[in-house]
Amino acid sequence: MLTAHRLHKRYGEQVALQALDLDIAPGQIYALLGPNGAGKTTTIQCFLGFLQPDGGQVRVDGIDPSTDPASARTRLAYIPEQVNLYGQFTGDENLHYFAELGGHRYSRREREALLADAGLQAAAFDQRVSAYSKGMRQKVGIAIALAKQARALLLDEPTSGLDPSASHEFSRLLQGMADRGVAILMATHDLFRAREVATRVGIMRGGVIRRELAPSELDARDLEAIYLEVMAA
Amino acid sequence: MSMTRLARLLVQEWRLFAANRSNLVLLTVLAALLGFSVANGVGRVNATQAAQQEAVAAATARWADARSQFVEITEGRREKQQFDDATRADLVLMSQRNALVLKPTPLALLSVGPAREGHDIVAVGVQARGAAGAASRENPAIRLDGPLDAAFVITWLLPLMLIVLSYDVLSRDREQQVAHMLASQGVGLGVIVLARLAVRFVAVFALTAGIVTVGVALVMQGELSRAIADLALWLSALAVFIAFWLALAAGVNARTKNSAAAGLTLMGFWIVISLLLPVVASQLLSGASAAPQRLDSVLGRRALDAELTELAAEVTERYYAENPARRPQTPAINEYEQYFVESYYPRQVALDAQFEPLARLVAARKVEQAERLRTAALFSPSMAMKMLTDDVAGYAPERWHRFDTAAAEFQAKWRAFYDIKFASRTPLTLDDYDDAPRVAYRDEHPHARAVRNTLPAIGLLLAILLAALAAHARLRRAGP
Amino acid sequence: MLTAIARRELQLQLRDGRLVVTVLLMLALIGAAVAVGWREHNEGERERQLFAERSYAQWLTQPPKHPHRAAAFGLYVAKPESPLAIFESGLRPHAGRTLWLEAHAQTAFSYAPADDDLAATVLPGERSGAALLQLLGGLVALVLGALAISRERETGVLRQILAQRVSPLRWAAGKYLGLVATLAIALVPLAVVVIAALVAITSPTERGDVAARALAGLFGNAAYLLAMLAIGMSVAMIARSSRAALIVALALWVAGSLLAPRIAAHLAVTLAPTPDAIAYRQAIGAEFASGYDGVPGWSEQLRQLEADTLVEHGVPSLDDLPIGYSGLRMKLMTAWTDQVSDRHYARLRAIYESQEHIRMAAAVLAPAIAARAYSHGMAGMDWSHYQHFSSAAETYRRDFNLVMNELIVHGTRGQAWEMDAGPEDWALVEPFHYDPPDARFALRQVQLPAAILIGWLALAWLLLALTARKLRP
Repeated sequence: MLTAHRLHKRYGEQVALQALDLDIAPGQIYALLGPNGAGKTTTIQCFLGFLQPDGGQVRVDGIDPSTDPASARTRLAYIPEQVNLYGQFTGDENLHYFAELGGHRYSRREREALLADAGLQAAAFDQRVSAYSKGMRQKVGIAIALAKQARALLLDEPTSGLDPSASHEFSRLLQGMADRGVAILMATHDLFRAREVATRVGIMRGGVIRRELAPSELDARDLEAIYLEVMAA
Repeated sequence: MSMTRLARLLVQEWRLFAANRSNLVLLTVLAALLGFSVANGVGRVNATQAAQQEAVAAATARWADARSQFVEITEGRREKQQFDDATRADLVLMSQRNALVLKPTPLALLSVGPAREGHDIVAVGVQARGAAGAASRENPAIRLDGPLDAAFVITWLLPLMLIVLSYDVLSRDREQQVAHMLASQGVGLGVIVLARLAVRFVAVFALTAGIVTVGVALVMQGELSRAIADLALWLSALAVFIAFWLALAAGVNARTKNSAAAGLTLMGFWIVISLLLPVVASQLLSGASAAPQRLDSVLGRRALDAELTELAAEVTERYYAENPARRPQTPAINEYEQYFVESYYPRQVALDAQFEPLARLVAARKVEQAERLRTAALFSPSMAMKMLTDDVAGYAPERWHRFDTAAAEFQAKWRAFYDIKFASRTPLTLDDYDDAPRVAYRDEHPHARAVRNTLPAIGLLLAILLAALAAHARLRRAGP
Repeated sequence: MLTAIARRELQLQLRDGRLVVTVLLMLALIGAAVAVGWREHNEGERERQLFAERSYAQWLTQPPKHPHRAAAFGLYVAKPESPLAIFESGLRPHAGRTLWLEAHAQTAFSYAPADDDLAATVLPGERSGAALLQLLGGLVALVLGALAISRERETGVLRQILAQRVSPLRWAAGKYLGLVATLAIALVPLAVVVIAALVAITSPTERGDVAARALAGLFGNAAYLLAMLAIGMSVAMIARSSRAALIVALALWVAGSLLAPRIAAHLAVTLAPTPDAIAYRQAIGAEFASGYDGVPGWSEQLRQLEADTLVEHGVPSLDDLPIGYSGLRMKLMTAWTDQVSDRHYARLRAIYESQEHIRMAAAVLAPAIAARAYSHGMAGMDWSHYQHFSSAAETYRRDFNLVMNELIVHGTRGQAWEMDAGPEDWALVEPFHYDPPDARFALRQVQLPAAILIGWLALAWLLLALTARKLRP
């Protein structure tokens, strides 16, 4: 579903991605771990078609997002690190707006269901987003992703700034989406959450995935040790 | 993207637009300014129409009064007086001034133009024709401040409002970091920007067009087809003008991440297009094609008058030699009458004939200036919009020139009809009253205005084309 | 420390390419306007001189005719302009310069250039150097001020600055001085060029007066720009973001420089409407015929004149008079017309004054109106200067009318009307000579706008001080 083959990207002299290979099938949750500047966000932006690779290939369901971004993006949903929405709209209005952009029309009831699935409290549906906490905005972002009925989901630091229960809820949602066949790429610092929810983990440094493993084979401390080992190498 | 989906997108963008209270406040301010200026325009046009009707009625009444007095005299019910005798051509015709009026165009409410008082009424009789009224007493400091008419609001304030409504049409999403979410939905950013601008276009155009159309309906006196033609021309220009400023905003926003910078850039465009280019054009024009110098014509006319006065006897004799039927058959009634009939009038005819080319020169210079300004308007949409608005409001020198020519023709007809009586001291008859030449002036067709404004219209179209092409080129590659 | 902050600010501003380009563009435009103004003034003065000479020559070389017809032929006079008109055209576009002095009535200034100059209709205001300086200079000053702390705010440096020992007020004052220096660097050369031009075209006898007017005008414009700068900075201090500050500054400029003058003018004519020309003339005609406040009308006065004349000359009828009764009648008609006209003209002047008061009241909210009025006054291009000329011309008109009427008195007998006067009679009328008022006259006329400008400057400084004290990152 989401594939990258020998993906290269430079910013001037600086190499952001170096021969990156990635293959995420439907139903898989791939956690991309790494420090700031490792190339995680760049990878996501290449899948979105926001950045043009300097070499290699990137495909979303077989579509090249740099040549046909519109088609690629209809298959993708994206939740950025900071889910910023239109403050003058309510949560429901934002969902309505973005869903329309995504080509989907939902009734009020359906939108309420989506927001509820994303974990947003009913009392907040008709409040202006300018009054929302970060977690609440995150939930609207998830609802928007759900509304898109996309076949792939890209997440950039989705749990940063969330409290543990919100984080747990989020992991539950991800699992549900993966069970429905969505391919998920999640860039994160959160080793614990990665181990908990990911099917595979890639540890990235200097634009390259240094180690790739299945976290079910490890416990959290082992994952941490491997991560630190990769960083130190 | 299907039409249905586009329509739904437009609905969503309208909701987003309306959710921002400052947009609605701005539209309210625009409506208030336009409403105020249009209402004043309606009042002004109504006052002109009333003054014109009054002037025509007064001239008609004066003629009818003179006719009644003539009938009373011929029936023996009234005595002839030295200075009040309706059978005497000199007394009746020296005081009879027919009112020729240039009716306001249907869109006259849009602009005060360069006009002073006078309500476009020309007094025509055997004497020299002129504006029916004295020179204006209006305070020049007030005139200098300028009128708050719809032309001012639309030419200079409307673009500013469009800039405020659209300067952050995409840059704000970038600043607030919504742009990535937006771009990831599968609709191109260009389509989203287009939809947003379409919403703004519809809001501003509908508001402006609606208010102006109501105003036109209030002042229109019959002439529906002309009103529709003028309105169609002007509304088309308005649509292109609004679209131009929105396209500029799109082009600037395509790559800008900073709304303040986008706003400043658009203000810069406004200053160049609405202030600098017109100032430069105005300065160049004042050098290359200066406004006509009336002082030369004033001195010229006075010199002619003095010369003809010196040769008064010769002028009179030449007049009678060329027009034998006008030689007086009876002696003068008194020295006043003798002066007017045998000295003043032949001199006046000679003066008008010799001075007419000079007067035409003044009109020709104004037409030349207008033509050059229309050429300059190719480079500034604001100039183009102002010129076109002033033209449909009736202030083109060509329109006045046409009217003045008709007034001159009517005067020639009037003089040809009456001056034989006046000059030869032949008493008037009832037929002279009843068969008086009638005024029947039909204003230029709106088509003439459209043709005249070809260059400003091309200027507007070129501007929107360039802006739209630039915006399209920049938006194609626009990312979050 | 103040000078250090100011110096740094100046350096930063001079490095801003956009500002340099904007200011250069503005200066180029104003420079071009001054060049055009110079040409127009020179041509205008030459024309005026020629016009006055030719008009008087036409008067002198009139063929023999009746004196009243000569008086009806009249004379044209044109108002001279101070050399400052190269920079400030004032009311000239809408007032014209010429007056037709003729027998029957005091006329208004005629042939206003704006009536014929279509090029002026595509501008939202005037195109003189002063008008552009006030319009564009005001905008630049406001925007400079509004963006004064944008750099520090957006990079977060403001927080660090406020954490230092320097008080926000002192820091703001230093920045203000730096911006003043920036504006000065741009505008001082312009002032030098304008003054050099003035020196070049002014005769030595006028230089003192012109210099005084120019300096006073310079201070007025400077006060306006300094006030705009301070207001812009005040907006920057209290706005939550640079965008907000910029929008407020632009809104203030549009409201104050474009909208306010027109709204003030509209208010002025609504609350103190000028009578239209026809109504004005008809009102004079009506009072002429029927009198006012117990003073009898024309018919009664004529009857009285007839009676008094017969008694004075001891003759049984007017035909027996040794002098021309027509001339006496003309003298009375002229005097009575002038008396009635004076009343209505005084009312018109009172209306103009009311309109001016309303405009100055609006200037309390929009200093651009006061700046313009002040600039007009110091350049000798405001209504008070036009009125001064108009009064002198009217005195001259009445004098030559009197001379012509005396000719009728002594040139006819009894009730005879027709007579011819000739060149030796025309020469009894001296050419019109006019002494324009000096700078002190101008300063007296502009007291109110000057006070408003000074008030605005003080208020702007006070506002800046208060907002600077409350500055938060």
